[in-house]
Amino acid sequence: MNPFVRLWSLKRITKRGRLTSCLILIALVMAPLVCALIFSDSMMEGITSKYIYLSDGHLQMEGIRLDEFNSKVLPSVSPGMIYSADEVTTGYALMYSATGTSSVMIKGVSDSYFNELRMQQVSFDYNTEESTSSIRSISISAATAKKLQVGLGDRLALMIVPDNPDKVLRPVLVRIDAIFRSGYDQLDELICFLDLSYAQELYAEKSSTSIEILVTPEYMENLGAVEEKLGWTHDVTEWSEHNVSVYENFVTSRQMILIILLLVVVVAAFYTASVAQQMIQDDIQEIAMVKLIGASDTLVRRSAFISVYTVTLAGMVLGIILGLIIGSNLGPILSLLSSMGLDSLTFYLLDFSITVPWLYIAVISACLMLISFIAIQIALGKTRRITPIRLFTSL
Amino acid sequence: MHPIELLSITKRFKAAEKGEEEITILKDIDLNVVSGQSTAIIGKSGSGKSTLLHIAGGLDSPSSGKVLCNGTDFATLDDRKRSMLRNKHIGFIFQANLLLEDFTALENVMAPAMISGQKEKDCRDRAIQLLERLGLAERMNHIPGKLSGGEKQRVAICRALMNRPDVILADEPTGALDEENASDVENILLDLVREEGRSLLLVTHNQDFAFKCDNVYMLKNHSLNPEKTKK
Repeated sequence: MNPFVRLWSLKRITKRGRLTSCLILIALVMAPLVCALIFSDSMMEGITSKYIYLSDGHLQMEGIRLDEFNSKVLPSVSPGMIYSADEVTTGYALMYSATGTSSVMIKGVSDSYFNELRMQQVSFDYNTEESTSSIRSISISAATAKKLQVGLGDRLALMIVPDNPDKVLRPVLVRIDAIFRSGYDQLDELICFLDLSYAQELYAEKSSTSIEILVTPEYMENLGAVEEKLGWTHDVTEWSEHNVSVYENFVTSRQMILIILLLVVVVAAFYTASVAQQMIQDDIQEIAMVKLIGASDTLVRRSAFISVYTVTLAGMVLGIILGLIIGSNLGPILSLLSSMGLDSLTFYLLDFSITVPWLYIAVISACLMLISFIAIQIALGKTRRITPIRLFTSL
Repeated sequence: MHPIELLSITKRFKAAEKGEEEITILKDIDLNVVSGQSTAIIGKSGSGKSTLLHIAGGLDSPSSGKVLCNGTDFATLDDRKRSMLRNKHIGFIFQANLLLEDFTALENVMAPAMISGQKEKDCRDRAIQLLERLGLAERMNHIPGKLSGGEKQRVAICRALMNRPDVILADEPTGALDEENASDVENILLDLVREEGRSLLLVTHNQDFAFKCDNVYMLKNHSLNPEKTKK
């Protein structure tokens, strides 16, 4: 780089904080954008995990029992692909308490269902009182318990919706022996867990039973490979096929968030161009002087560009760092807001692990740099009209 | 080949109002700035001395005629080449010293050499040498705002000489200085130009200063008339 360009650019950057406002604005734009990306991505990842681990598994095989799966299907799968496979019976029921009603999905699961991975997503409170009655146990969510105004040890009536339309509706009595919470009330209030054998009694049809499969972390991003190995005997479906509206909502939300953030970035980039334009306006005399002593227009433009672009880059990096710091502490911040009584937060997942969407951050940053690059270059076209003779016509 | 040759230069300005005639400032002026000699142009205020100097330095274009700098016609050059020619072959000194306010005296002097892409160390060494010669060794790290008028003008002289140009174009370099400082700057400028073997084209209405030069011309009625010439 020409030594004069370097010196002049440095003088401009450090000059009386003229470009500080540009740096602060870019940082203040980037920080919330990064924060919003972290929030939306982490939230979606968190909710996806809840659906996968508590509702549908990574993959599901319909109409097959566990012994058949273990003997016929599992041998065809490479070791290390499957983390767990559990037989699950699913049906629907209306749940009644003395004060309320709720429509729920009954999941019949065995004891092994709540393995280490699932237990990372959910916590249980158990009824410690021994029961002598023959009434069956049920686990309901804290959200459902609140809705029905019941607690551990209380009884509920379940009106089983039969899987065969020829059968009649019949009520059964259950006792709440466990209350779980995953942190995502929207999903929690839809599910309750029963013992697998009892659920199979209630929903006798084979079609109500499926195998819920969790894959190992290495295959989580490549479910297709596992699906291919499994799918030669029975239909295999992914969690997104069972929750099409949720999945499509996520995809659309992601796209909309990215578009909105890109629009914000475009505005910020054009602001940098206006800063460049203002800088040229303020420095007309100085530019004419530099041209007088032999600087070409290209050199003048390069110096002005480096000044504004460096500040934009610094603002962007500062904003990303700020955004990452705030974004990494979103959990405690949201919990604090929630504890302050912000009701709207109950619709969100408040306890989730932070995922930094590096790709999206890179896309946003690249857009900011590219659009500012073009906008600043256009703004700097004005320097061509500044000639040394202006020094004398304006004196 | 002369550092600056003005060939049949005419400069007209458009009339301020429609219907009025164009104003002729310079008419068919020929002037050679001879290598190693100093040339002064004197004349009344408004006679067109500064305009002539701006045209000679490629800062303004003549209405007709040619300006050659070391044989190259300014009119045939694009912005980059014209800037390069100015940077390498011409040094400017003006009444208003036109220093860069955020640069120190040293950086101001180094600027033309840095623009031409010379090594920073070489620029610094040459600039320090010039500043020391003009008695500014103690002031080289001060910005122009902290320098007196005479000091600023001496910095401007150093800057003009930095790239060892063939010719220095000076427009009333002592016009804004008191008598003592003016006399100092006159002597410094003429001595340095002679020592460094440069040409000088000086525009002034100070006759004493002008007649210290090798050649003196009077600009009167749009034309140059020789008052003193060196054989």
